[in-house]
Amino acid sequence: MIQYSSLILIYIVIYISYRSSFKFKGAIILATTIPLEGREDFDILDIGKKAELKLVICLLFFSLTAFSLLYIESLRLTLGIYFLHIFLPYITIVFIIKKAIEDVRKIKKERGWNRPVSKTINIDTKLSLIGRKMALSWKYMLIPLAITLVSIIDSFYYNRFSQGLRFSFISIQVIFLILCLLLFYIYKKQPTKVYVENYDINLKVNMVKKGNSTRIIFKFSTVGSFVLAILSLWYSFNIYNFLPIYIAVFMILAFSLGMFFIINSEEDRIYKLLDREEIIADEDDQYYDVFGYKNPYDSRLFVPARIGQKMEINRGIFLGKVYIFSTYFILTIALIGALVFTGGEIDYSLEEQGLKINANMYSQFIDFKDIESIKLLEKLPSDQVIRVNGVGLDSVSYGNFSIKGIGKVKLYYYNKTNSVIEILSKNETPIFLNLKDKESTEYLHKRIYEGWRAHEKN
Amino acid sequence: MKFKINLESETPVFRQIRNSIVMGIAEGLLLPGEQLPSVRDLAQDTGLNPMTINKAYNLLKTEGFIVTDKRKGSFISREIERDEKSEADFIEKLQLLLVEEFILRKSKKEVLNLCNKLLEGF
Repeated sequence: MIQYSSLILIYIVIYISYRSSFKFKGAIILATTIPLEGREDFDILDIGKKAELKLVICLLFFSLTAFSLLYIESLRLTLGIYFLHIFLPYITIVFIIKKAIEDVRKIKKERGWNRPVSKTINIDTKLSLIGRKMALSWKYMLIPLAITLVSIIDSFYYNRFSQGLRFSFISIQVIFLILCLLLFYIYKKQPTKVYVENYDINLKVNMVKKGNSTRIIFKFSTVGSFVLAILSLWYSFNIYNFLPIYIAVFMILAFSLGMFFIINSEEDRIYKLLDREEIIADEDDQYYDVFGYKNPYDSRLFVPARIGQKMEINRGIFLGKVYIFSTYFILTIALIGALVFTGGEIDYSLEEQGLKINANMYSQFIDFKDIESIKLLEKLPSDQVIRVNGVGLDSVSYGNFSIKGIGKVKLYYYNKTNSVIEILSKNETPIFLNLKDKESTEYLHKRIYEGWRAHEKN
Repeated sequence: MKFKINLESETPVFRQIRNSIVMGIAEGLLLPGEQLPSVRDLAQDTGLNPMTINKAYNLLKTEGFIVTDKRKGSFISREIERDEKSEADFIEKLQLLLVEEFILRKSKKEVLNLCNKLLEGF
C-alpha cells in the first residue's frame, strides 16, 4: 500500500512538473520558441493538448497496472514491479514529448517562424542520402540480443543458478540490453542536419553524431552482453559464487557510464568542428534535445527548464556532465541494488555428496564428509542475533550473522518458523537453517540426517 | 546537391523543392541515375511534412524528371522525355513569358541575349 501510494504521488508530481511544458510559458511551448504571431496557432495548441492527454492516459494506465503491487507477496517481485512503474512511465513520457517537440518544430518551420538566420531550410540531397547509412543497421544489435538470449536460455537449461540468483543475473542482463537498445534507437533516429555551408564539415558532424554514437553503443553492448554471458558460466565451477554478480554490477555500471562518457566526448567534437563556421541551423534544434539542454557556449549550470521541472542542467559544461553522470550512477545503483541484493527465497537441494543451499549471494554447499553434527532445535540458541553482512528482513534472514554465546554463524532462517536445523562442520562456522514452516523444516532435517548417515556408512 | 527552401517565399514549399531539383539536373549537380533521399528521410532531416515532399516528388515523377522504384527509391531519370501535352503547355508558358519580356524590353535581340545568358552553364 505504501509503495502504491508513493507511485501515485510520483505520478502526480510528474504530471504537475510536465503539465506546464504543454502550454505556452512566455514564448516557449514544448522546448520550442514560437514568435508572437504563433501563440494562438490552433495546430500548436492542439499538439500540446494531445500530448498532455497522452501523458494523463499513460499515467492512469500505469496507476491501474500498479494495483498489482497490492496483491504480490514476493518482495523481489514487488520491488521489480515498483521500479518498472517508475522507469516505464518515464520512458513513455520521453517518447510522447519527443514526438510532440518534433511536431511543434515541424509546424514552426512550415509557418516560417524560425529565427531570422534560418528563415530558410537547408537541404542537401547527398547528405540526406548518406545520412541514412551513417548509423549502424538494427541488424548489428541482433548480436548482443542473441548473446543475451542464448545466455538466458542456457542458464535455464543447465540450471546452474539458485532461483533468486538467476532472477538477479537475468535482471542485470536484460536491464543492460534494454539500455543499449534504447540508446541505439535514440541515436539512430537523429536527423541528418545541414549545420553549416561546408559539405565536408556537415558530413563529419553528422557522422560523429549518428555513425560514431551507434557504433560505440553497438561495441559496448556486444562486449557487455558477452562478458555477462561468460560471467553466468562461472556458476558451473561452483567457486566464489558471490563474485560474478558483483563483477556484473560493476561492469554494467562502468559500461553504461563509459558509453555515456564516450558519446558525450564525441558530441563535444561536434562543437569543435562547428567552432569556426557560421551555424545556419536553428538554435532550438541545436541546443535542445529530448534529454534537455546542452550548450558548451553557455557557462550557466542551471538554466530555466523548457520541459518538466523549474530548472534543468546544462549538459554542455563540465559541472553539468558531472551532475548528470552522478545522477545516472546513483539511480542505476539503486535500481540494480534493489533487484539484486534484496531478499529472495531460500531453497535447498539434497545431493549425493551434500546439501546445496541456494540463497542468492550467500549460496553454499555443505559436504556430508565435513559435517560433525546435525540437530533440530525449536529456536535459535539466543534471541540476540546481529547481522554482520547479509539480508535481514521481516520474513527472512540469511548471510553472515553473529549469535550471542556462539559467535559467528551462517543463517538461512525464516524468522516466523518455530523450528531450526543446526549443522556443525569441521573448520566451518555453525550453520542454522530452516524452511517456511515447522513440518517442512522437520522433513528437511530428516532427509539431511539420513543423507549424512548414509554417506558415513559408505 | 545543396539547396535552400525559403519559408517566406510566396512559392509553395513543394514547388521550391521541385524547382531546385530541376535546376540541379540542368546544372549537372544531379546526374542521371543519381539517387535522391527517400520522402521519409528528407522529411525527418528537414522537419518538413512528408506530404509536402511527397507532393514535390510526385510532380517531378509526373514531369518525367525522376523515376521511382518502390523498393529502391527515387532516381534522376536517365532519359527525360516530355509528352505532347506537356510540350504544348511549356510552349504556351514560354511564349507568354517571352512576349511579356518583349513588351518591356522592346527588342528581340535583348530578349534573346537574356535567354542566352540564363542558359549559360547548362
